[in-house]
Amino acid sequence: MSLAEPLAPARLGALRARAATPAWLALPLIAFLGVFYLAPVAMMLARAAGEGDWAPLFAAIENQVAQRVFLGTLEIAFVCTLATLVIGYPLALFAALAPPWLARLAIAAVLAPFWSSILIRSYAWMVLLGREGLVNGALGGLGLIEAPIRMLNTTFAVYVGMIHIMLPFMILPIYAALKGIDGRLVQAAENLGASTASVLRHVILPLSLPGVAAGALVVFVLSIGFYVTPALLGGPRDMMVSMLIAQEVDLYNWDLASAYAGGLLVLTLLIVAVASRFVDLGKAMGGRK
Amino acid sequence: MSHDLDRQRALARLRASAIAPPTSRRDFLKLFGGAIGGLAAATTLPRHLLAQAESDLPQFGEIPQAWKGSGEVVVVTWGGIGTEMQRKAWFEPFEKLCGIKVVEAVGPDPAKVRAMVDTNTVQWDVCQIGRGTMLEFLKQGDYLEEIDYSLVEDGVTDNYRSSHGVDIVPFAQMLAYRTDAWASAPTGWADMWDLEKFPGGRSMPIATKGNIPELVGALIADGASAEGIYPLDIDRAVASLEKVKPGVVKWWESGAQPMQMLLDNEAPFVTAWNGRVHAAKMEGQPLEILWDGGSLISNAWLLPRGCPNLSNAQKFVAFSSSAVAQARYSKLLPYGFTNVDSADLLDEATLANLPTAPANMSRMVQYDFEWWAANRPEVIEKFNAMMLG
Repeated sequence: MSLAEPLAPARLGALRARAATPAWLALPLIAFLGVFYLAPVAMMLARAAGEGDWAPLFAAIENQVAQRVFLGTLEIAFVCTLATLVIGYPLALFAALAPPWLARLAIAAVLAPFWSSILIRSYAWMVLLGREGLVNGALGGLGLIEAPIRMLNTTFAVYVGMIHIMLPFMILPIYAALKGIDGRLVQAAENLGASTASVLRHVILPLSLPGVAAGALVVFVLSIGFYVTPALLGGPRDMMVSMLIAQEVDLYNWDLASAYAGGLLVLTLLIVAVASRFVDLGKAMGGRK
Repeated sequence: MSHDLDRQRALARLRASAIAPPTSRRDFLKLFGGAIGGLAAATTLPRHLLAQAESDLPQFGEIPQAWKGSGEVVVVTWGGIGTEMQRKAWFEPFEKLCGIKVVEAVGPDPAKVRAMVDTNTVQWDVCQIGRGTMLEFLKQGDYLEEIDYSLVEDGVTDNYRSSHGVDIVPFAQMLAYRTDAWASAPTGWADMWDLEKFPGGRSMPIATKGNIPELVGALIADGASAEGIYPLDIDRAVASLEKVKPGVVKWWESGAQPMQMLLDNEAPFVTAWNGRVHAAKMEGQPLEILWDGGSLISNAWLLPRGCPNLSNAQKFVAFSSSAVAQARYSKLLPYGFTNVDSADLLDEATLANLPTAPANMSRMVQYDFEWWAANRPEVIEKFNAMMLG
């Protein structure tokens, strides 16, 4: 045992030296994605080309309702990202600094809702936020409000539901980044007389930025594709791009639906591309460089 | 159309006890597959006022040989209480008397029918859709099988027959409200639009997902006469909807939503389907319906082109549109029948409560399938611009 353990990395290293990028290891995955993902996506996108004149694509771009829906979707995704960051960062920091048992408890608390379905969690919010729901009941019981506040079927409810679902995606990468910070750097800063605030600002915050970037990227990208939560909790005007696509599928406008889906895909890829210029995505996602 | 009052009731009950989130509703069955629907439908709650003993239902006599067969037929309906009652009215006797097993599926999405036919992977035999969708399918190409009327009873008169569909389950989409919401009772569409006199949320159907947006109601609220309201003035109707929009809490996508909003008091004044409201009323909920200016609509059985059990499908269509079968369903839920001979098999009280009862029907507007098939894209475009504007 004591011999095998140090040997293993050495062997892997030798393997790596022989084939700098063992691409063949990814072949099964590439084959799977090619058949079940890339080909269908390509076929779907081809519909947006119409009869070579890209008519569906132009129709999609010129549609004013679609423009509003795309902008609205981006706004919702942006607000969710910001809110999860503001709520998630302090919690990740708390978990990173807390003694192990407390950190484990905090992470478990973050993960627990993660294991129940989005649908069920969205319904739970319907129960909580309704006119006769728990929140209104509690506020009324405390005498804080006279009549129930309308919360369900509003943009506010969409934010509450989505932020709740997205929080783990923000907290976990930040927590991982914080845990990866070399404690000696903090000690060095303190030895040099830095205050706690100063350590946070000049050491911990900059070193945790890759985690923040990864969390923000994941939350943003997942948010622009949301469907169930806004449909259940949202008000009359809370339409997401995914709902627009579903609607066009319903109307048999599959070419137009493809154009919207293509738009969403391109938007997502653009965001990832821009983000990758600023962040080392591989590293931020926990890979090694 | 769909019925899942039991799920709504379960929802309301869970909400009252606030112990756990409720199970899924019909509108997401499409996303998560029919299996959930089957599970949810299986957990039924007692419904003494609605439930009818088999002995109370009209009984089948001699079954024509041509309706008998073997094997199976896949019947796709909308789940919930509707499917539950269809099982009692049609599926069980069909299996017993005709020897063909009924395989149930939930959520006959027309877009899915089209995709199945396009890719030659049709798995459904009989779909509960509607004549408007049939007309759209016929315009788009070869998507439906013709109905074999040699098997169908004469009681299904010509007005219920079309080349590729047999009308079933006439229902009303009409106003419903909570009787405990206001001191004086509202009387019609003008009151639905009067947010000052009748404060509280409103909910009406969205234009998509196979729903019929309230253009008729909007026009009546705007002062139009129900008499000769078709062809509908789309611009005037949408402008009228714009006025009530501030009160609209949600444009509903499935028939379960207005019921949930009524029962939870999210919206005390809604457009809903008569059978669901009736069932909730029977349960003691403080609800009332207004027939005036409601739309009388029918579903229709459609058979996707290339369905796997075509001959059994034709037999099922004939069986379920028979006088006895239709009367059984009307007895179980207050939806109309499309076989004129069913009237002789039902008592006065049941007949008076149906949307097709002359007294009720005369107060409603007959849904114009052809107008909707021709104008739906324009309606959707203008409605959506209003909704998101």
